[in-house]
Amino acid sequence: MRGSRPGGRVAWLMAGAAICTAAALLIALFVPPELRVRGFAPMVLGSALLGGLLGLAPGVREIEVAAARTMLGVAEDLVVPARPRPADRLRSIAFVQVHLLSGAILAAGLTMALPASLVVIVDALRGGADTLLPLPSDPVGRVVSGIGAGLLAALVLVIWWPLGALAARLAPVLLGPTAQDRLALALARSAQEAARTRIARDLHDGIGHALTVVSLQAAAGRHVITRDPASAEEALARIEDTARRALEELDGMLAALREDAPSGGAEPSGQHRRRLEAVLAEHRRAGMDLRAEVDVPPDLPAVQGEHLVRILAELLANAHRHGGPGPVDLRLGPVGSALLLEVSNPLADAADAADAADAADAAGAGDAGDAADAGPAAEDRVPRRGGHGLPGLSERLALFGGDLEAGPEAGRWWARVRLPILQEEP
Amino acid sequence: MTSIRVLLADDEPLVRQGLRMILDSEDGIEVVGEAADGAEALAVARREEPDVICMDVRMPGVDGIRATELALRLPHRPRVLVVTTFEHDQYVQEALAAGAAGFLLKRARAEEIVQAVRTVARSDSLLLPEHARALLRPRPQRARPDGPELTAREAEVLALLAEGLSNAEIAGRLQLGVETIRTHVAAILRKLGARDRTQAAVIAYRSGLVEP
Repeated sequence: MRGSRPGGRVAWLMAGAAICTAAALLIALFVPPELRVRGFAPMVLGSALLGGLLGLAPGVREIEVAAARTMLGVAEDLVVPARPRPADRLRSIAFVQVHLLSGAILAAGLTMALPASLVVIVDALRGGADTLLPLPSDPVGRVVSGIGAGLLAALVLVIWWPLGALAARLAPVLLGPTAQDRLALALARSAQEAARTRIARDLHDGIGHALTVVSLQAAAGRHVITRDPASAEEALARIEDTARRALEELDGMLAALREDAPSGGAEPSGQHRRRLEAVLAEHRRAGMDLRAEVDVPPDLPAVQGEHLVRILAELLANAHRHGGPGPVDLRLGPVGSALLLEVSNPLADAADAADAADAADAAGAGDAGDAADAGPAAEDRVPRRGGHGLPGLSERLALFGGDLEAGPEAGRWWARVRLPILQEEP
Repeated sequence: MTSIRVLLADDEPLVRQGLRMILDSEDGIEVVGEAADGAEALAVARREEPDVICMDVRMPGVDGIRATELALRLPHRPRVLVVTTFEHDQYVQEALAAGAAGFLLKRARAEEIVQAVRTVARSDSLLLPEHARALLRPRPQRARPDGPELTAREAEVLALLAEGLSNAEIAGRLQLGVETIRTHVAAILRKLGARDRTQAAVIAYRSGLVEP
């Protein structure tokens, strides 16, 4: 690929020359004469160096990257940092300087050195003594100056090639990803990999597991249906339950996958809010006195929203299983660049409550009766799954750099989850 | 005739419950215990002395493979039927190599599950369905095992043994006496250096002596 597009490279150099000329004009207009450098070469150099400051202007890096890819034919990775660091800015400036200077060299060659050489060659060939040029008039001097001019003209005609090649070589160095960028890229990739692994594991653990239970329970139900219809009916209820939960899980997973696909984006955050609400409603129906404050940031990445729904479900299921009677408090909201989820519920038995320093407030006794009534029915309806619980939760959280704290505190059981909100870079 | 005593080892209660429903409803089969992991399975097996252990391969703690190895050392020598979700499971190979007498998918139909337990309960037959044999395709580097060649008759017996036939069934198929078959099987085990019929079958498939 490289070097196979001379037209593109020449055009790229000429564009640099045009910008360099503009820079030179601006300098001539605005820089007082006493500050200007004298001489053509220093003037070009100064214009190119000052013109390089264009690299700071928004959009210039993008244009240079696009031009390097299409016109210079650079195949290596070139990047436009979303949040440029000083080093990125310096390298952008350096590349614009290279662009302007190399362009100016070609343009100066084509507009000045080439015509001058042609004049010398023509003069040398004409052979007359009435030349106006400061050239030697003897035949040897004339041949030498003619050959010299020819060589210069030839050099001007081919100089685009080394200039273009040099620019193409420098582009990945100055516009490519830095070691830091590569690290960030690698981290992003490994996070993606972790998410993929998690999805595979969830599919295996969740759906595969559920289907196994469904097929086995269906086999069992069919096997006993004539002899023991009651057992068969129980098997059907278990199948229904398992299948429904698996579908919910699949729904969530597919939502997360759709969000990962580039064209997705059917209001995913709204979807997560709905699913969060559904989990809360499920527990309320099951008799939980749930007091919830929920505030989900709209830009939460889908994969994290999915994660959040599971965490919430797990913590509430935990409160249900191990908590004592009484209200369950839930707070979910952003704190800085993280989401904080707090669930607290009364401790399971009086002994625990007494242990926890201050005795539970007297008001708790009043609604204990109601909650106890709701208890057993709730126990039957709340989904339970083996193999998870708080250690599994911590492990999942660690994937996204989050953490979980749980334990008794002031007469209640507390669970606090901190989940950093991932920034999705374009 | 006494019932076949079965122990169910699986970490998922709903799987144990389903298997129990199917097996308990059968005459001549009795589920005598359940275990949620390999260690518990061994403890219950020691106490209840089941004839067959339905063993999940993937369990927390002591997994099904290690549990199979240890269970086969128990004094009453239970038979192990490996129960698994996925047929392309590397663990299944290992479990068979550990001496499991059979292999069953959790998605099998109820009749197949019952039949599997009955087959494995007979001390002289194996249950190696198509997918289990596929896991045992010959390995190129290990051609025929060294040692004395099997006679033509022994090779015939080995092929049938590897299909899962009992001594009586092999005798019927080859029109020979059960005692003769028993002698052939003993010779095969000795020549192959196999500990039991499962190992002999595994060696037969692996070495290409028998087509899977």
